[in-house]
Amino acid sequence: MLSRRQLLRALPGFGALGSAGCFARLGLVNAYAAPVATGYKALVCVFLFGGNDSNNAVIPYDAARFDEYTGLRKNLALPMNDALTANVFQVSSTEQYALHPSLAELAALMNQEKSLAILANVGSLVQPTTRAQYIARSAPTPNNLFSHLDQQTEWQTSNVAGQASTGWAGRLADAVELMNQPSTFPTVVSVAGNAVFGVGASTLPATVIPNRALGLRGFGNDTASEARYGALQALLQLDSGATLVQDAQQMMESGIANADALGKATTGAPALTVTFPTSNLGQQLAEVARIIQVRGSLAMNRQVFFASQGGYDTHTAQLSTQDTLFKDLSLAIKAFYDQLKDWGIADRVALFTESDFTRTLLPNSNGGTDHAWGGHHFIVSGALKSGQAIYGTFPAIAVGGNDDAGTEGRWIPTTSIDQYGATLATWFGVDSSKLASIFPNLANFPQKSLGFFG
Amino acid sequence: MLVWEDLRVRTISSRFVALLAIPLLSPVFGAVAEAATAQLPSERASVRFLQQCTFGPTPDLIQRVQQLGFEGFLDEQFALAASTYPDPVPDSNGKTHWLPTQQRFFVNAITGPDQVRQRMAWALLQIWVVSGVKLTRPEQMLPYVRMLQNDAFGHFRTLMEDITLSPAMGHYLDMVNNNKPTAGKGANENYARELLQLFSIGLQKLNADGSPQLDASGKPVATYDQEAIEELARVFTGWTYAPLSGATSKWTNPGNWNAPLVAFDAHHDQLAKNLFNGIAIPAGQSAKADLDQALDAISHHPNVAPFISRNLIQHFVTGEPSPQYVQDVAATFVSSNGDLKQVLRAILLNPEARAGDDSATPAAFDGQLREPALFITGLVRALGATVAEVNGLPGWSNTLSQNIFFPPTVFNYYAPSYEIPKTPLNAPEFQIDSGSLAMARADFVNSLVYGKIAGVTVNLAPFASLAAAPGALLGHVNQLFLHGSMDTRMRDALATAMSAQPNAKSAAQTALYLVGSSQQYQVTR
Repeated sequence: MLSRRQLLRALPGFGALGSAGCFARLGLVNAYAAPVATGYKALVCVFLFGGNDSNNAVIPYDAARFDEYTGLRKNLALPMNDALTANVFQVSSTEQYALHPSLAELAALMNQEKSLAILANVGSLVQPTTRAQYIARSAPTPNNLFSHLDQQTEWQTSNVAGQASTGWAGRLADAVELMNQPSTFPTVVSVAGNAVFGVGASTLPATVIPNRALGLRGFGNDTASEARYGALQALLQLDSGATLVQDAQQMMESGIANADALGKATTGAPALTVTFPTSNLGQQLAEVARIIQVRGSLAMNRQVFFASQGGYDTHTAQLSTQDTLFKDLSLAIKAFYDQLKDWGIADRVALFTESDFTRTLLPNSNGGTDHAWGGHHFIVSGALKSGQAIYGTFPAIAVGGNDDAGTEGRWIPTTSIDQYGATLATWFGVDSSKLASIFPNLANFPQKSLGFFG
Repeated sequence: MLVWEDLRVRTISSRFVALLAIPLLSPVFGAVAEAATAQLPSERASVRFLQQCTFGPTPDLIQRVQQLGFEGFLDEQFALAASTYPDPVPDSNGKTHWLPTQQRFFVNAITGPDQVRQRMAWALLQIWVVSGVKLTRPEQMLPYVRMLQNDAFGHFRTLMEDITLSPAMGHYLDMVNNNKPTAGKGANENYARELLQLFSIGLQKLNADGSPQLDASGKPVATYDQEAIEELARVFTGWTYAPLSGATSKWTNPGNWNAPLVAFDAHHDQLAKNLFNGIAIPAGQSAKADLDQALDAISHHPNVAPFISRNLIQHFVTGEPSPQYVQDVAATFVSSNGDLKQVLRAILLNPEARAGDDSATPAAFDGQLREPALFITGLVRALGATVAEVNGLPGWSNTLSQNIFFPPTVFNYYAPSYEIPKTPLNAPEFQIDSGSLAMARADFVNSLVYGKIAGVTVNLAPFASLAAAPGALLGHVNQLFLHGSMDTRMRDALATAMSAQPNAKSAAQTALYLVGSSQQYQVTR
């Protein structure tokens, strides 16, 4: 990875200030940052790749709307049975909802632990947008709606162009970087491969492969090994004048540095006290837990993690596919929450979901649904405000109505990714003056914080 | 190690060269290309060429290219029959397994004579993606892989129709059993959307050189809207699997992976459809007539040539071709009516691809990172290792984020548009490299060179005998692995490490490990 000195040199403006100005400014920032950085906080994004059909994750359960839901969803409507009824929660005297039967653990987190909130109909937006504006194309809208790759990028970057070089968590990491000083470990860690989510203008994320031993294989302490390792290090430093070679060298160098730091921190750490699912997502969240466990050794005050679960592109076989995925999601999040609770830090961590988009309310002709827009998401944390289950505005269950972008139930979001992210970032401790640079369209929305934290 | 300012300067200057210098220098490159037909390629040029169009140079193939020249070598390769995949053999419970098919992929790639055909089929499989994530058994995908091998040097329009009617794609993107809409249920949009977005025209209107067309306010212009997807989805209704042998065909037939889909016009939406660019499909047509008309319209869209050309260039030569390079290849695509043989020839013989053949000519482009499958096969082939039918290579490819036949989504293992963080460089393969994966790549080399991969046998004796004189081994490795580009600092570092080893075999292993794990090797230039 880049050394801290290199990072500082890379920050626009520092070079121009010269060394005296640079130190003066650092001193100021340090004095300011020290009190802010007290207490650990972490954000954990679980990205549901493929576009989760949240219409079947959070189901309106009061009689009138359940009938509407059943009528429009047809063969994809979940039946009113014991499993669904067990996951019911009351929002007002007239409004009830139920979580999907396979999200039983999440329902328990909401009803018993008061540690789960739902954000309704959130998605990519430039500004508040009505159906009339969307149809008339009289308001600016995000690029390439309904495309997986573009919408994944928009969710991860809060950039409505569909292509972006930095993610919102990366810019958040840039903004809070001094809170982690003097640690040089990256603020963002992905346990799900490369993602633009964590790429900042001045900081880069670390990647960790769950369950893979840290460090390079095949080196001993003998002189022959040391000579070979020395040569490997020397080759990493060779400036060959070829950009791609140097980018790849830098990647390997950062990998070795991060693995060294994490290896030292985790050596001798006690085992997790909770058994995580053996699934891919379960093991990703177990890895996140192991890294959070050694936050003290890594000297981290603020961390952001990126995990993911794939398979949500349910154009067919939606009922069975979602059933399997939700069971895994629910059990993995529950294990993660239990582990944090066991360590007494459930209120220091907020896990939240993102996804490409939700899916059409109307089913298609072969057992699935197609790409849509705004959807419902979960926030799981011991720091949530008590007593409110749903934030944002739940769409009317109707096609061709005010919430529909067309005629198949593609919800126009009523809350933007910028508002969602800004609420998380504010809890995380970023200065409010930095929010506009992290969430470029936040200014277009009157409500900057959605209030789901206590 | 470079610092960011250096990197940025270098990145911008390399782009500058790629975008601006090519037209200025093209007379020079043109001369190089003419010379290539007149005189036979150098060893350096042959190694570079083979890195681009095979699963890795070997001494035999280098010699062959030097004998036949680039064009002659390609002609010879175009004529070779495809390496085979046997049908999966069920176990005692009647179940088939993916692993033997994945292992065969590596056997074919490492030992098959039809190197260029296999590379093309592998590139096509990464553009027209189907995946074992959804196709649960290998016999569902194998006919598709064989079809790509057969269509690898055919015409784009043929490929598009074969793919559209293939049961594997039909199942993967849900065109199969896509019924005409009924009240409250739309047609399945999956294939319609990805056919346009990923397989043919893309999201934005392109110029002939692959750059996006911009509107008056500087924004890209969309190629289609959501309504066009809904209309095209109705074109692709009314198809089911072919009937199994001896069975009566009905709507819907059970899975048949060995024959194209068949139409049931009673389940085809026969209303009129409006596609993109004002193209309309009249009411009352059969499923096949609609499909023919739609595929014709798509294949004639002006985006197809630059979109597919750029994508193929990215799989063979570089993630960031200059606009001129894309335009040159796209012109061949158009003039040859989408003949993939001619397109590949244009990609490989373009002056920009050949610019690094002469060590005195600085490469105008930056090459590409070897994707895991090519990284693995390149090393195994360069080492002259033998590979058994049962081998541990699929597991390693999976560890390196490229599980063969199992791309995670229809967006492949990496996106064509991926840019390296903090740079403006378009380099798709970097999406599956990272700090941790770079180390895993080195771990693969460690296992290969120190002899611990099942089914892969490396004979180190020739390397060890050369290592008795470090200069001899390094000279050989420099030619075979790095087409002679190893600089003196790298040579010195390797020689120092070799001299600290207890014997010649260990010295050879040291050199091979260090070169194989180096970024100088992993990036082909």
